[in-house]
Amino acid sequence: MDANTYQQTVDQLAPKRPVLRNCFTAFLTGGIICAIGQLISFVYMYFFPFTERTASNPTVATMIFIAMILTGTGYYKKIGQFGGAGSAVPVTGFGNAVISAAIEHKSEGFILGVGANMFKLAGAVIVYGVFSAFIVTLIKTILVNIGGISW
Amino acid sequence: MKNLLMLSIILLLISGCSDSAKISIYHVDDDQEEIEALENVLQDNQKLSEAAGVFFDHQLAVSLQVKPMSKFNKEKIKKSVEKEVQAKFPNHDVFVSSDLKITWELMKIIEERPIEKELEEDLAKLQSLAKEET
Amino acid sequence: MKNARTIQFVSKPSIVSTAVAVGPLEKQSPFHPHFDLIYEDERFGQETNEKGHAQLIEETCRLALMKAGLQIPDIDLFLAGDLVNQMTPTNFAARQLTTPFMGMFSACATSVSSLITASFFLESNHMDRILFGAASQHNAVERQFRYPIEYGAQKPPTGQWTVTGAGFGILSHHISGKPFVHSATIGKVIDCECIDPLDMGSAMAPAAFDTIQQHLAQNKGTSYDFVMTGDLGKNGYTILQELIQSSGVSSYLIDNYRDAGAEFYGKDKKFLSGASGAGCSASVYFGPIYAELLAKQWKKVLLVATGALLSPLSFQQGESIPCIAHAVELWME
Repeated sequence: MDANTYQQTVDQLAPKRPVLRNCFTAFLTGGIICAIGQLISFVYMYFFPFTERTASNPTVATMIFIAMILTGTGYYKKIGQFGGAGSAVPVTGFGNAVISAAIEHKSEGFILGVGANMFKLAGAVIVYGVFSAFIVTLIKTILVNIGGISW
Repeated sequence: MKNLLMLSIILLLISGCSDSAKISIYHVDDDQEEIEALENVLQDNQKLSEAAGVFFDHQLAVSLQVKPMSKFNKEKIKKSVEKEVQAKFPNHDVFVSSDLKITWELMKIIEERPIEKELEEDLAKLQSLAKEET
Repeated sequence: MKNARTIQFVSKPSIVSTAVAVGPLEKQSPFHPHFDLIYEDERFGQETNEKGHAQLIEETCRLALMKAGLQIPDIDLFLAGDLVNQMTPTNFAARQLTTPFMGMFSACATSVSSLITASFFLESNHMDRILFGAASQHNAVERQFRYPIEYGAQKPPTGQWTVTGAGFGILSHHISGKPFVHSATIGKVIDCECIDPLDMGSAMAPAAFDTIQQHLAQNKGTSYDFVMTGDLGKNGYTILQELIQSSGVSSYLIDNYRDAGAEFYGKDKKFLSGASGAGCSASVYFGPIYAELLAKQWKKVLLVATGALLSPLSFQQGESIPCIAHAVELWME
């Protein structure tokens, strides 16, 4: 059988990812997660001595804690199947990636299992986060030194 | 009918946007002249949605909230307001913040109208809070 | 070359007994009345998924022996496999069973490839009874091939759900009143350059089609109650149907074509395209299909187990997914 003609058959028959629907559910899920985060940061600002700027740290910690509970009880993967990018992009998705890998590799012990594999999925985010921060800073420094812009 | 609906929506949007800022000011010595001067400065800025000010013994604390569409320029607006206020009150120690927490705290002070000593402590606490980094 | 891809077994080796055990999720399968054991615990009381997997295989094998009224020394050979790295669950179960053992790997087609191999040993009259089958455990397989279990990745509608289940049987010389292996076709590895590991149905359909075509060409005129593929899922089922229709191999086949993976979880949308895994075809073929053959509900069935021969490494390196399908024809007289 010819691979090219077969791929055409597959493209015709295979169910497509419902992109529009996925976009909508991702928007909804991401929006709800962010609204919850905003609410938590308001709580920290209202009841504790945190400003808009400093409240983000305890808020992120709380959101990751909630993601941890949801991952451990098995609800986060259901949210993930429904929300897709909406649940993967916020910090809860990062938390889920770390925590799910930690749970998974507990059977191999705490050093070679949990320790070595915890950032199996999330490590990519850290590596390329640091890398792109470096590139952006480099560009900024060059532009400022040339004198094109002021910062 | 459709045109009417569109018109009303546009009107609503415009009126919603051009709402002038809610301003509350508290002066320990109740100097009406100074209150009015500050009120005028804040009122003239179309980008503000909420502002509060507290006068106290040659100190002036001002907090402001900007309208949603101006949030991207929050820092710039804050700086321009700071300059204006400083020009208006050259012999005051001016402190301007656009942080929501500072607005809430100033509103609390204005509602409670505390005596001088408590106010001094409160304002010092606020300023140190605003300086905290992430 | 003798062109012996399709073999007819003259000695008619019979399947004397089978046993099927599944995990808690498989309780909702429409096939569940034919599952012998349904566990409430997906780790089968063990501390890790892999240990649970080995436990599942061992228990199911012991049950198959018990149902046939046999003891471990009666077994000449144990032929089985699973999907975990180096097939440790099957190897460990074989350690407990203490029978002579050979590991088989044809990915999800192991259920049928072990049966075909067992038939050859009996045909050559070297052995009397062979224990064969395959198993898979959702968590152990999923963590190896895809993401951690609890990771919230969105699966596309072509995604499939690895079954927690085991199906084992005992093959012996011909005994009347038991279903027997009439013939078999050994599959070729077919690669149609599919690269999506979350769309195994499309990758495996050409392999199944090739094997079915070959088998029917060698058995012209035979009329089957149905042809059943292993784990193509709802997506692969549609594609295979289209392949059969457009090639015009045999028109009667289309009405009687079934897929174990597509039927396994019923119409539940949660499982997307359906079931997959070595345990899928094994538990359906040696559970409900065997029981219905035994009850003489069916006379002739063609079982085509399909397997995707990929590893997590191979698809990350950009290799396409080669696939295989083995067919076995069971008769009941």
